[in-house]
Amino acid sequence: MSRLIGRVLGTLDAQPLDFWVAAPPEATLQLDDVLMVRRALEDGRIVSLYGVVDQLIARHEGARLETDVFLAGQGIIPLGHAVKAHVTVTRVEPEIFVPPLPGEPVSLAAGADRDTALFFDVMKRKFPIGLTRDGEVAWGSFDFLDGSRGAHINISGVSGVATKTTYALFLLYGIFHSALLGADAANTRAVIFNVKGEDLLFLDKPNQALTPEAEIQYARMGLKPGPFASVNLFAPVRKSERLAIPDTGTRSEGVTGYCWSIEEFCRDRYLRFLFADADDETSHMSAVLDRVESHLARENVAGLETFDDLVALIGANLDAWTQSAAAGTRMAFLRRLEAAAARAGHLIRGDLDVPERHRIDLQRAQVTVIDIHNLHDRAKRFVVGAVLKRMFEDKEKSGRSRPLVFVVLDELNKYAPRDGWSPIKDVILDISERGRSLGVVLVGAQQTASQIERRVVSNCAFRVVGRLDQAEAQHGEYGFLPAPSRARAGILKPGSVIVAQPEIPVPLLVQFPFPAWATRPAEVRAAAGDPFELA
Amino acid sequence: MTRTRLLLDPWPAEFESALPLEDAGPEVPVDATVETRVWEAVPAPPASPATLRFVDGVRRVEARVLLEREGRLVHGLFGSLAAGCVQCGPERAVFTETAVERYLVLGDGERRDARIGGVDFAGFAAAGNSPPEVLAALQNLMRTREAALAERLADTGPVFADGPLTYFSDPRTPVAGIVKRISAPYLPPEQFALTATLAPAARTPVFLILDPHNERYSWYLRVATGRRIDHPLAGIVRVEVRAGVGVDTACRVADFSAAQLPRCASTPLRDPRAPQNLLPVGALEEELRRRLGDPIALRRAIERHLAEEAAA
Repeated sequence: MSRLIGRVLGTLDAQPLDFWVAAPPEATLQLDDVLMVRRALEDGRIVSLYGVVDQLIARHEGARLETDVFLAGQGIIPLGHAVKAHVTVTRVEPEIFVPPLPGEPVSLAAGADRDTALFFDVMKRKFPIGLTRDGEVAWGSFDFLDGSRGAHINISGVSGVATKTTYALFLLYGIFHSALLGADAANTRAVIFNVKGEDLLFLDKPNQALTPEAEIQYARMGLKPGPFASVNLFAPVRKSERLAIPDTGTRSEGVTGYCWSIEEFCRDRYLRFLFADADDETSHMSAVLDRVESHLARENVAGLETFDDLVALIGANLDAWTQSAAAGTRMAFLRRLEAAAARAGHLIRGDLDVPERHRIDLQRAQVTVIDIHNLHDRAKRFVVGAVLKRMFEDKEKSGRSRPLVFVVLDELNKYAPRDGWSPIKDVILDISERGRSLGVVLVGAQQTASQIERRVVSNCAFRVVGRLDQAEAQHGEYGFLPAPSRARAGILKPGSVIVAQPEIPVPLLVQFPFPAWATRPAEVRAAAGDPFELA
Repeated sequence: MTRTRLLLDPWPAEFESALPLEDAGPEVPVDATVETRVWEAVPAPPASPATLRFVDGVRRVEARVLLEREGRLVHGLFGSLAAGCVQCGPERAVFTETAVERYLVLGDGERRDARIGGVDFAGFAAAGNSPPEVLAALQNLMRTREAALAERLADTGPVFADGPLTYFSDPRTPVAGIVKRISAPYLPPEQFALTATLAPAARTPVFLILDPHNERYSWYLRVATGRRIDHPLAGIVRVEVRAGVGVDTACRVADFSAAQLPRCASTPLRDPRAPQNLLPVGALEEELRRRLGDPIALRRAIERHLAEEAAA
């Protein structure tokens, strides 16, 4: 249980919301430790103050000059060690805001005290967000994720430390593989865009590199380590290939090649997502786009085989469809359409025997992974825009916020940049602002939150940072991080993140376990028996 | 004609002079031949740092008080004292044996205890009844505590006390007293002259001070060199041991002090009474003063106590 660790310091101000604790030098007190102290009031009530250590300072006591440290080392003058810890109060129970009295004993909160300190006791529905430094479980309030009181997660961090997507998937794993969702579990969906490598194409395979320590970490959080139970994998169809086979390098088995039929493309008005570059946004251009889209939706495109045929059709009719537009705008439109055709044209085809087989159907499994890593940026935007628009429209039509749909999208800066407007940014803003009531949860990630549209970030209930560039950490987007946390964000190791959530007044540094699902072919656990092995 | 130069007594003016020497011959006879017949500097023998212990005390008057008794004025004071030891080495220095005592000292044989703000002041009757005599009583109490502590520790290794050994009861105690201020040369001028020329860590030969009340062996030791502007006696301490230890022990302690004390010499940056007030001693004094508690808090408690007595 909670044990004594120090006393409230009296030489620095003790305040109701923050105070200093003196700890004996031999006591190991570290950042993030959860402490508590009691204060007896004259009417007999006891006020408990709970808090988290966010600064630790050790000094030589009795030293007046810097070089005294050398004399102490030679045994000439005696110097004492003083360790003090700054505590930011997270909770006061009952809510009577009095300062703790200097000299009062302070204990390291454990068990129920720790849960109280971090508000875990009042979270009716919670999901694991990792383990704190002391190896205890840290929880997130699901009310702030599923839309009841808030929604969305935003993750920032430099690339290359494999933290952002891994952490997003860990959160999803915890949500999907616990009893949290109840009856909704079977119908809750996740759409994950694979933007880098083919890391996410093995989510359905157990990770053979998983260590026993990681298994213990999962167990602590009440999770059984393993692969995602229900996964459907999509990869773009290969370019210049008659057969619609997925364009993947490391895995083809179980991966569906995706593309859109020309009919669907025209009917559902996806053309705009081919014009999602920042330099595409002029009012003249979007007027032309609107005209062309509405004509295409009515046009009979059944005979067209390739996207180039569609481009030709548009070219032939453009003057007629967009009479009011200036010739220059029309030319610009065509130039861009042709550029888009070169990059994304192979994803829109009229020659498929059974187009439904290649449609990205989110209902086929709990988790749908859509690989876009090999695509050109223009094609990536098209896929993300088309998939999200479709998904969001389906949700709107259903009119129900349950079951939930989680959208995991890395490199959010490409889709919802701070500056400029694009149709896809529009979709993402829509999800950020209305997704909460429609049951769409955006798990967005990017290297730098400062480059993301403010409204997207500010609508996120959960803010997560992995390792941050120190200059980036000084931006206002990270105002939720107190100064010591900002400094620590610069040295976070892979597997550690700082999580801020509305219910806890301080961000928590948590560690999350190594993925229990494979992230590359080498980690795929060999099947129990090789079917081709000779008896 | 040679021009005489002004030289600095390096201690700050708020302290008493480090060199309150008067141009007078030795008042007590001295035997300067006990160690050697050749009067010349003795260099320190080579030695690695040994564990040293220094004992010191501090005192503070918390408040002066007056008592009217049968038309007579009795002088008194509330005073605190602390004594303790700093042990230097091996590897690190630590404070040991620190203790605080508090007294209500009254003159004219008057004695009463007081408990103020949870702090006990033991009653102590001073012999005289003038403010200096009352203060001297507190000073004596402190020196007696220091001496008792040093004597107790002396059984287990070398101990240096602060100042002369006037308060030591046992004439055979091996405790060495370090006298920072040179108030009397003891030696005749031609022998005392050696002192000014000593190199750091060198000492004079041991001499015997034939004081009938307090016979002791003594020697001068240079713990550090002063600046060119300092008087050549800056950086010199006089060390003494009681004569009861015998001349051999005295010489051994003299060598030991020469080998060990200079590394503890302070610098003006660290201690105004540098270099004679050794670093461990300065640290101990500071620690003891800290242990005396906050003077303002104590003074307020005393004032409140007196106010309550007046109201009762």
